[in-house]
Amino acid sequence: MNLLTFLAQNAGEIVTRLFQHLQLTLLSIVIAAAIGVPLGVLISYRRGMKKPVMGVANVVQAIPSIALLGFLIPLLGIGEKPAIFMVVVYSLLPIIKNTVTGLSGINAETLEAAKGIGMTRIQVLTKVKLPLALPVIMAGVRISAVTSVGLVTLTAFVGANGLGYLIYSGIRTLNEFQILAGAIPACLLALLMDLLFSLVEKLVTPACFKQS
Amino acid sequence: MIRFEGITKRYDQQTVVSDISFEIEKGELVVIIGPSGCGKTTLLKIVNRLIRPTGGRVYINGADTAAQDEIELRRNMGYVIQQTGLFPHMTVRENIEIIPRLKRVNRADIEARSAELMRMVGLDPEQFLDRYPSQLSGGQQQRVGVARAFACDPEVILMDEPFSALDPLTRVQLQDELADLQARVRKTIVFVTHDMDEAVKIADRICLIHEGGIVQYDTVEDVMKHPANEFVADFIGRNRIWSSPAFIRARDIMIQNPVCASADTTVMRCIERMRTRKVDSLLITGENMHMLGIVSAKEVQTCADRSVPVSRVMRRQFEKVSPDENIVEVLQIVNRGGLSAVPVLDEAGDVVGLITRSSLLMTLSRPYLDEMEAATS
Ligand SMILES: Nc1ncnc2c1ncn2[C@@H]1O[C@H](COP(=O)(O)OP(=O)(O)OP(=O)(O)O)[C@@H](O)[C@H]1O
Ligand SMILES: [Mg+2]
Repeated sequence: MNLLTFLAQNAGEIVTRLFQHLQLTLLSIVIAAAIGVPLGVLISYRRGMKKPVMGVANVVQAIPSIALLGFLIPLLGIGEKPAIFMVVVYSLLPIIKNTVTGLSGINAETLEAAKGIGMTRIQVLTKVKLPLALPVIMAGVRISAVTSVGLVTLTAFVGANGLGYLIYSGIRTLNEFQILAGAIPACLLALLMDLLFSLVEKLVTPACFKQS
Repeated sequence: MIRFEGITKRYDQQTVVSDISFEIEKGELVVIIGPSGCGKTTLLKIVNRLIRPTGGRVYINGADTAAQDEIELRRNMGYVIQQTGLFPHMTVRENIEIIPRLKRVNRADIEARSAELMRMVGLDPEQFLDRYPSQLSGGQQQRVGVARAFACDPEVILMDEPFSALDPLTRVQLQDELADLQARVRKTIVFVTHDMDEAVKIADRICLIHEGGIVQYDTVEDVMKHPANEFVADFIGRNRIWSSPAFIRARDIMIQNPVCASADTTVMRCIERMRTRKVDSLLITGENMHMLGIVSAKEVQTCADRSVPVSRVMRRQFEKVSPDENIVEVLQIVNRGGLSAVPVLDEAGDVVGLITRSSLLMTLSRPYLDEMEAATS
């Protein structure tokens, strides 16, 4: 039996696992963005919060992912809950960092003009700051999305579904084909994710920056 | 219209603006000028409350700005800064319409207004409304900035060095256009600059600031002619007036006590007077220095009977200028008539002075002589 016939025979399971994987990744990214962007915005308004929040995010980033999963089992049990939690935690840092960078990179005079012509703080944020920072924020989301694909693979260790399951059980049973059946789609998914988010990034880049 | 009362701004120990009080009349363009760091921008931003003063108040139409809603206050006030003031991610249209839209003005009105504003600042709406600021030249961007400031038809417009980043040619062009525009719309404009040429071009009044305080607040002409102190004289440049001849007036260059004679003086005495006073023409006056005529040396000398009153030989038709006419107009009159002298008369026709070719020559040569003096000393 060669790899191709193995893949063909198990196509149904591989596709199911692929979709589970994609689902977990996207869900985690959406949650991470929903937490990370507002947090980044908050930090950009309160300078004092920048150090503690970034500090915590950095420390969390430094914990090995397997160890973090280990800590999570007693707290959240096994399955998708600790999986999503872990991926979200690791995705936060790039998103927060890029949100803060994007917001602080906006020309101070442009912001002063926005205030000076009579926009409220909320309007300055939604009409000027966020649109101008969006490309940088999306670049952070893209980094997170790509790394998340890899992280979701690891979550098979806590019983989450996805391509990791194929790899994990392949390793246990010394089935090379099964390992590859998980690893190859995972790689392709990571590349696809990168492509997808680079398109989103282009889409949200204000037209004025595009020509360069 | 805008009244500053004891405005002071301190940062920590440093006093940036100290106890400034003055008033700007409705429909006037006042230029706030001074060396870099003197507090001009600070003073301007206190008006739209981007900066809160440490002390003092600003009243607009008698209402204390500190008591008003700051968003409302700013929306009723135009604000123009350098190119960076436009939002790069919005088209020209979106930039101009942002505040009217936030104010929920009727859509059709907004669109009509945008086209009108574009034409007002000399840009074709069809061509430019849907471009991004980065697709415009610096001068065009500043025009859009001005258009945006007028969007809500505010009474007061604040401008902070709006033209300073432009090349000299474009800058002059925009200054001229602003002056024309202001002549039509008569808004109350506060304009900050450190460029005296710019101030002279556009200002009704100049507020000269030095180290956080007003050193002089006067019309452009008065600042140039009567600088309050050495600092002002140095700042505006001693020969500044020569680059704006419109401000050099007949009254500034005339001889104040011209040689005159009354109408019944004999021709003999007139000749005598001209010889002793070394002049070649005489102004003939009636009561209260009312000008009746003029005679030249030639005219009296060719007169056969020297015992007749001069009123018989004087010319009753003569060129004259008013004290407020500027040197360019005076030169035109003198050249057109080939005159050696032209009397300066007030509205009632009374003599206030005389401008002769030699006094014109003296005046016109002064900047060169001053320059040479400065160079040799
Ligand atoms: N936020 C601040 N904190 C401390 N000092 C400040 C602050 N803003 C301005 N200053 C100081 O206040 C002074 C006046 O500043 P301002 O911006 O009003 O000057 P300006 O007259 O507009 O100068 P320029 O012609 O260079 O624009 C400067 O010495 C500046 O350093
Ligand atoms: Mg300034």
